[in-house]
Amino acid sequence: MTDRSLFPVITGSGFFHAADEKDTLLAEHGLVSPASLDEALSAHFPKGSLRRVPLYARTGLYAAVSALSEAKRFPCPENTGIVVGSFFGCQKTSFDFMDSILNDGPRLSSPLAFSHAVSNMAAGLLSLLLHTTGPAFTVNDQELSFAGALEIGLSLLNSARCDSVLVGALDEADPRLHEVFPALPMASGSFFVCLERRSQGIRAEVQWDVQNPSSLVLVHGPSGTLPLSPGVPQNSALAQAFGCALALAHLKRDAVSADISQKSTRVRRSALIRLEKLS
Amino acid sequence: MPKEEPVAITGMGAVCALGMNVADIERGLYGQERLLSPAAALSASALPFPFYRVPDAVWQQEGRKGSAADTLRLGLLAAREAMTQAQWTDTRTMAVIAGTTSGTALHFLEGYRNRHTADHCSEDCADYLACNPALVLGETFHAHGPPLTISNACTSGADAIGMGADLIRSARADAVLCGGMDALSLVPHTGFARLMVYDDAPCRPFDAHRKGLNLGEGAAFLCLESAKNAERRGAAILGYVLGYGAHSDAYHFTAPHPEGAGLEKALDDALAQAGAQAADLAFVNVHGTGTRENDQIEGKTLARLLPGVPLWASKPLTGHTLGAAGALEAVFTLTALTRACVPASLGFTEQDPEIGVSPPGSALAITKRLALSTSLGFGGSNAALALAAGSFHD
Repeated sequence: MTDRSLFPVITGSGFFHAADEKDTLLAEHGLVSPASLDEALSAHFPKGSLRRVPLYARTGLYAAVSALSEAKRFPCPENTGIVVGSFFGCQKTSFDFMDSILNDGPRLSSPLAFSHAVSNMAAGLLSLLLHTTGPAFTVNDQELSFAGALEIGLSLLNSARCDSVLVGALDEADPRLHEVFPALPMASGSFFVCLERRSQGIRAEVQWDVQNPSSLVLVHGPSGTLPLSPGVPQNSALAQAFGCALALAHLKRDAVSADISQKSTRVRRSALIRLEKLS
Repeated sequence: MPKEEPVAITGMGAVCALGMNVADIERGLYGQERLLSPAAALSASALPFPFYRVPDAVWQQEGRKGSAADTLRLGLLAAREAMTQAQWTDTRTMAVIAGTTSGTALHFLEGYRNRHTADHCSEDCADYLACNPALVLGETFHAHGPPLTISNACTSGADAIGMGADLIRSARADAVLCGGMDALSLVPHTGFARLMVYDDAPCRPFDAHRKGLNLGEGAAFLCLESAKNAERRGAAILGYVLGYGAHSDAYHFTAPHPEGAGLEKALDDALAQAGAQAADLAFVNVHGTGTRENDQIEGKTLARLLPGVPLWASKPLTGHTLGAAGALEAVFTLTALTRACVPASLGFTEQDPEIGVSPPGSALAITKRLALSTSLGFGGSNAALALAAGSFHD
C-alpha cells in the first residue's frame, strides 16, 4: 500500500523548443532552449553514445535530463519510470523508412530506419541512455498525449511500481509531415517533468471530459486568474505540455494553482491538468 | 511489489487467424491447423514471407484498406464482443486502454507516395488521424475515463491489461476496457523481413533449427472491474488479473538483455503481486517468437527462474501479432486455464542445447489455476501478466 499522506508532485521540469520557433512568451518565463542541443547534451553523455540517436530522441533526452537535474535525481535511480506522450511519434525515421521502401524497393529498404521508426523509439532510447530499468511507456493520443502520459505516470507512482517517473511530451516537425497534412499545425520540442511522491510541492492530477474553460492555460494566484497562451499551436500535442511549463513558472513564484486544458479535435474528449501548490 | 487484490475479468473478445470470436479461437487453439497465407495476400509488392491473416469475413463490409482503419476494425470487433459479455450498463467512469503498434504508426505508404501529386489528403492519411484506437473506442462506448493508447511495440497489449488492473485497484476507474490491436500492412511486414528475423516457413519457437518469426494480425480486449463490483452485480467472472510486471532492459534497443534482466524483474513483480511462486504455476504462455535471440534469452531465463514449469508457445497458430500479441495471449492463457488443458506448441521438434527447454508437442492436462504470459519488445521492454481462471477462488 502507498502512503496516503504523500501525493505525486513535480520535483523538476525540463524544456526544449526548436531554435527557429522561439517564442517571446516562453522566453519571458525563463523557458529558453540551448543554441546547440548536442553541446548541451555533451556535458552529460560521451559524444559517441549519441551518434546513432535520432534528433527526436535527443530532444526528449535534453528535457528529461533537465527535469532530473532540477529534481536532483541525475544520474537517475535505476527504477525510474519513463512515459513519453507524442502525437505523431518519430516522424523523420518513419518517413526515412517509407522513402527507402519507395526509392530502393522493399528488398533493399533500410532495416536501421525501420528499427528506429517504431513508436516507442524515444522511450526505449531514454531508458537505455539513462540506465533506467523501470517501465518505459509511449502514449499516442493525439492532442491528449501529454495528459495520457501523465495519467500513466501518476498510476506508476500510485501503484508503487516506481519511486520516480519521468513524464514528457515530445514531437518533431518534419517537413514531409507538412506535405502530407498541410493544414495541420506542427510543433517541435519537448517538455518533461520528474514526478515523485511527497507531502509538499506542486501536485499534478488529470481530469477527463470536464467542462473546458475558454482559455488553454489559467493560472490562479493572489492577483486573480491569468489566462496564457502556450506559445505553440493549440491543437498540437505540445500545447498542453508547454502550457504546463508556463504554469509551473508561475507556480514557482506566487501562483497557487493552474488549470491547463486540451480538447481532441476528432472526438468529443478533453483533458484538464490541474497543478496545485501543496503547503 | 506487495500482494494485491485480484482484478476480475468479466468480458473477453478476440479476433486473429484462428477466428473472429473467442469461441472460434478456442476451437482453433486445440486444433493443429496452421493457417499461413502467402505474402501476396497482403500486397503484390510484399517480400515473400508468409503471414497469418484474420478471416476474410472481417473485411467483407468495407474491404481491407491498408491503413490504420484496419487496426481499428479489428479492435472494434474484439472490444464489442468483450463489452457484450460484460454487460456494463454504466460506462461513464470506464477507462479505455488500447495497445498497438500499427494503429498509431506513420504507415500510410500510398498517401505518402502520392503526397506531391494528390490535391487532397489521401484516404490512408485521413484514416491515420481518424482512427486513434483509445479515442475512438472510448467514444464508441461512451466512456469518460482515461483514453490511453499505448504504443510499447510488442509488449503493448500486455501493458494495456496490466495498467488496466492498476487503474481498477487504485479506484481511478470503475471499469476498464483494455487490450491490444494490430492489422498487418506492408510497412511492418517489410521492416521485419529486412531485419532478417522472418522465417519463410512456419515458425518453430525454441526449436534448435528455428529461423525466425511469422507476422500475424488480430485484436483482443478484456473487461476489468473489481471482484467486489463483479460479485455485487452478479456478473460471471471469467478469470482474474492477479499480477503484472513491466521493466526495461536498458541494454540494447533491439536485442534483449543477455541474462534476461528486465524479464526477470517483470516476472518477479507479476508473481509478487499475485502472491504466487513458481510452484503455483500451471504453465507460462511465452512470447516465443521463433527468432534465434528472443527464444534463447526468454527460454534460458524462464528455465532458470521457473524450472519445470511447462512453456506454451502459441505464435505458431497466430503469428506474431505485435501490439495485439500480449492481449491475445492473455485470452489464450485464460482459455487454457478454464479448460484445464494447455494446447500443443506446434513446430517444436528438437531441443536447442543452448536453451534446454522443450515446450510440449501435444496437449497437456493441468490442475493448477494460475499461469503467466510473457511479452518482450523493441526498446528493451518486458512485461509479464499473472492470470487465473474464474474458478480460482472456488
